[in-house]
Amino acid sequence: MIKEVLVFGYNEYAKEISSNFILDKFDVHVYVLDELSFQAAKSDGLEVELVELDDDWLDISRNFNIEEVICFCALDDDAQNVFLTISLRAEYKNIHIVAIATSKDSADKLRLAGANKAIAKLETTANVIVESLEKPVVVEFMNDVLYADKDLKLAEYIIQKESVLDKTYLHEITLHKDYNIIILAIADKELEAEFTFTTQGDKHCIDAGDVLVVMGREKDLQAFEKAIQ
Amino acid sequence: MSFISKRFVDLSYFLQASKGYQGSKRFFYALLEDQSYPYKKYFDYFMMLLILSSVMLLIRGVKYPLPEYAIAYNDYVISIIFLLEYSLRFWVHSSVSKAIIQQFEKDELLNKKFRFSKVLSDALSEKWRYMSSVFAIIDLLAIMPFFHELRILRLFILFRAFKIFRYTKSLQQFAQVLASKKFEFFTLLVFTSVMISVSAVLIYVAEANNENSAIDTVFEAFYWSFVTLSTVGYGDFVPVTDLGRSVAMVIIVSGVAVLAFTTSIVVSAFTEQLDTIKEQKVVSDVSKMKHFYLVCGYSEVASIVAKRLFKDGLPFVILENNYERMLEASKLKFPIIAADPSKQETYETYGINLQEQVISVLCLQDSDVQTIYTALTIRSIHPDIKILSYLHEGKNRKKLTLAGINQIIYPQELIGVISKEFTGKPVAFDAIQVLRSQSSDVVMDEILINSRILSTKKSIGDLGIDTSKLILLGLYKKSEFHFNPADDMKLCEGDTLVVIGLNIIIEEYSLNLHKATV
Repeated sequence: MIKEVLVFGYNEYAKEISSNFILDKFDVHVYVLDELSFQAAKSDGLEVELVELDDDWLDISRNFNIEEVICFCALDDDAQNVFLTISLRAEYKNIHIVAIATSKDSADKLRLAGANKAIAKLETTANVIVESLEKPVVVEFMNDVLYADKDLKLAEYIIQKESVLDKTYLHEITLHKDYNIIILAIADKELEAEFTFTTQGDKHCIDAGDVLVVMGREKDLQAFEKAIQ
Repeated sequence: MSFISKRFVDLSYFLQASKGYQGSKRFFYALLEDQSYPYKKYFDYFMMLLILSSVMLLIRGVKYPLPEYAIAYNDYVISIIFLLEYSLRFWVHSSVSKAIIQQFEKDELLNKKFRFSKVLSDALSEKWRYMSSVFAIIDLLAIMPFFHELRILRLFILFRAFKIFRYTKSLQQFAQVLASKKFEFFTLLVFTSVMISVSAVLIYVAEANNENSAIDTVFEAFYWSFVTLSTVGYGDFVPVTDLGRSVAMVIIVSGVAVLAFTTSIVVSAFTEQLDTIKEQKVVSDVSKMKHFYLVCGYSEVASIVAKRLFKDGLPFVILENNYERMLEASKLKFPIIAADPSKQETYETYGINLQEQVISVLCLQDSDVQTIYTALTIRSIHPDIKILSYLHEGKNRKKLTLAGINQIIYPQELIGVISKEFTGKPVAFDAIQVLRSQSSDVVMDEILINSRILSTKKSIGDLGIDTSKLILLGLYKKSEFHFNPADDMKLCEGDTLVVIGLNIIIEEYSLNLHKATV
């Protein structure tokens, strides 16, 4: 369970990331490399620390529980971001790192450096632009579900051993219909990063540890979560 | 004003006011002269077919007698069509009635005496300008075989082959490129003529009285000079005297120089005109496109957007005035026009019809200042067109909205929400990313309910989603989203289904929905 958010750098991207997490009541800590960014973050009321890029980052484990921390590497320079990512990964094997890259090439390097997720700014933006031309309704829908603060939500549930869904087949599940929920996909714990979508997974057997991805109204989702545990 | 002048002025006003007359003139002008007129190419193809058939008959007639109908076709049918074409071109070239009216009104305003003879002579000299043009002369000569009784005029059929120039754009461009080097070609012509004349005279003086030499006449001397200077050298006439051979050596060296000079002129003409030719090609291609997305600026984001559009087969045109970026886009074969998207004249010059052709405008320039300026230019031309823009700095969002931009993409904000969403539900987030990814077989897509579907499917239950191997996420009804709609929900025209499924199944399902009415 993520409780602490560490943001490295304080540019426009870092500001947006920080403000989104502050809105959701997370503890946000900003690390910057220069005095100017330090002053900017401080004047925005953030908890900020001035650090060196070649720091050993031991303070992180002293101050936080690594399991509850997520790091956002959002430095302006891609090379510095790669160095930061690899430094953090070298020190903490299990820390969760999300890195912001300029292009797809830099994102690939950040993944190699150990980032769990690398977001390429240019490609992500271009994809959203083209998607909004090709599938405007889908984009509107995604904005409603993912970004807008509306009742309709995406959720994911880890199937426990004692769950009613353990050892059942995807096509046999009817429980969700009682709660007005749509099951989108299942992420198999054995097939890392692979999804079986309900449209193709007739023969998929759900095991404990699999992650069920669903969509529904907030109230229905809560009731459904109780029902499957 | 004399009686005749008055009658002409009356007639001019009548013709200018006549809708039928003006409409036919506009139609024929478009058909004959307007490259952007969609039906012009069919007319051009037809004329080229006539020319080719005429030349083929000429070739056939050299050794074999032609049947009567073929002669009639060649001498009368084609000639009459060409005569009609010539007359129509003569008619649409300029407007005598318009010139008369303009002069009449000008003289009236200045309280001067209407000088009918002057305006008539101006108008006729304008017509003469057309008649004396190279193309018009070729057109006229191509009609000549009509007078086939004069046997020499039959040879004028050859001029029909030259008419091909008129209907083939690439040949026209070739001629235009060469025409840009008129002065150099003229210099070369003078030099060549002098060389041929001098060497012909010298060779005649040296060889004509020599019994062993084949060169006997002045014509043969000129012929030899020409053949030698061109570096062809048939060898049918060979100098035998020392003086003649000396002349030959000089003229051979000059011939190589002439050839090199000619080649360099042609090459430099093409090099200089290459950009213009390419631009003309793009402008011509753009005018033929029915619908396209207009991408203003070729920034880093724009280049990725263009690659995606290109890959997905969506039509687009880029406007960018930075030469290096233009080259970069040209290398990738993207349709790009070297022009400033923030200038109104760009759209006029390049014939971009925002109303008819452009689906939406993407302002992807390097700064918000440029974006706002471009958006306002576009808004001033077309108040309702959809404009999507990239926002560089969050503080400028309000300004972009005020400039009339419909959709603003702010990458910082986008990354911010993506980061938050990813942190909360990483698996769900990845699942959605897979659905949005181009490389995935399973996709999220939309199906528009139109009148055709509506004629047989009245409610959600009629759509047969349960048996289609698709997931129906919901239905958009006038921007209101209905999640997981019940079977009895009524469908209306313009509703949009949001579905998840295998790409091919969605395509087939959509086709079947439309086919069901057949």
